[in-house]
Amino acid sequence: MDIIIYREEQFQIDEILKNFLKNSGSKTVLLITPSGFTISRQGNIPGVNIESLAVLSAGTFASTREIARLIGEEEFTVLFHQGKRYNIHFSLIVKDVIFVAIFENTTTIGMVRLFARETAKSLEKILFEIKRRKRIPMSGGAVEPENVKRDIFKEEKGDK
Amino acid sequence: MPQINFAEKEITCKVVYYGPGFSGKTTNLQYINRKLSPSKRSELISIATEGDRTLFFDFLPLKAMVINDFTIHFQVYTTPGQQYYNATRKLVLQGVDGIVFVADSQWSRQKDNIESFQNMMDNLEENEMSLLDIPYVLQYNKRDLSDIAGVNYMDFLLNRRPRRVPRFESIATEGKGVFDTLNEISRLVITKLLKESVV
Ligand SMILES: Nc1nc2c(ncn2[C@@H]2O[C@H](COP(=O)(O)OP(=O)(O)OP(=O)(O)O)[C@@H](O)[C@H]2O)c(=O)[nH]1
Ligand SMILES: [Mg+2]
Repeated sequence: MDIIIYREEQFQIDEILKNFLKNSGSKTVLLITPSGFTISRQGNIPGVNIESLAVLSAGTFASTREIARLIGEEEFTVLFHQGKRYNIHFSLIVKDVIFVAIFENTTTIGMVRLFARETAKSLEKILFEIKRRKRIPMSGGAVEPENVKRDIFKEEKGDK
Repeated sequence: MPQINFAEKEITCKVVYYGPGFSGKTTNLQYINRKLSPSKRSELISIATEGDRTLFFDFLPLKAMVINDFTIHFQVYTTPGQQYYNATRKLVLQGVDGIVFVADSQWSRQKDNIESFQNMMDNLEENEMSLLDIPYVLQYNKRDLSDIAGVNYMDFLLNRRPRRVPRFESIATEGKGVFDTLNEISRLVITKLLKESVV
């Protein structure tokens, strides 16, 4: 699945997610694909590496999907982890896009679920557009493939 | 399948290190993590069991280069090699843009190499992908050990497909061949990206 996001769409998605944070009282919200790419993320928790969070969330959701298959469920569409301080709520919004919300006990799962559903509806059309888009071959860009240099990554002398 | 974001001017590609259990996939990533300037990478995450075997995956985000104002990011994963983790391997392969197949050079492991390679093709097929359109390279690791197969023989086993691919001899524990492998797969992935995408 190609994921190609235009500027305007990114702004729209970001706005919708910001609204979700405000309305639901969540700390962080991520929109990710099952292969671990982040479409958008809003809010943050100090000291938390959001990229790792996104990738591990995708992994969690993916393994849950396998579990569903094993026991003959078509799909679990919601997954919830409860912690002492933070809770995390995963839901599958349009096909193959995972919505992850992290919230504290200052709000409730009911609120999060309610606004997650509403947000999913607002995102549906735009995500559908993004998912439908295909890449077009590049014609005479400034960089030719032959010019991609050989040492993209340089090995440093000491340990970093 | 790369993700292209016009707002952030970012392109993200996924590279997976595949191969039989114990062949040295995690060791490759650990070495890269150690020898790459922090400005080009962020933290390595490993989800491993106690004995250091990879349970779920290892993950290392890298910043490759800037092309036409777009920053190209790589998400590098390893898969768990042990046979019973196949569901995980299949998941990690989703949306892959480039593969490094890390083979174990020891004679006793040649059968595992072949099985793992076949398993990779099966898993790609189940994800509706094929080695015919995904760039990949081979790494023959553990060249420091004494009881190892010759490279020609390993080519005969693993590099006989219609399209011969670049292959590297390596000693991942010492870092030998690790960056050569990484740079070659990076170049192949970016070259393909330039041919196929509007950037
Ligand atoms: N002698 C030698 N040992 C190596 C080399 N590369 C890796 N090893 C060792 O082989 C063992 C397995 O390496 P890993 O990198 O954990 O292997 P892996 O492919 O990630 O294994 P799984 O996670 O189980 O699939 C470790 O003890 C490494 O130190 C090498 O080039 N030479
Ligand atoms: Mg490993």
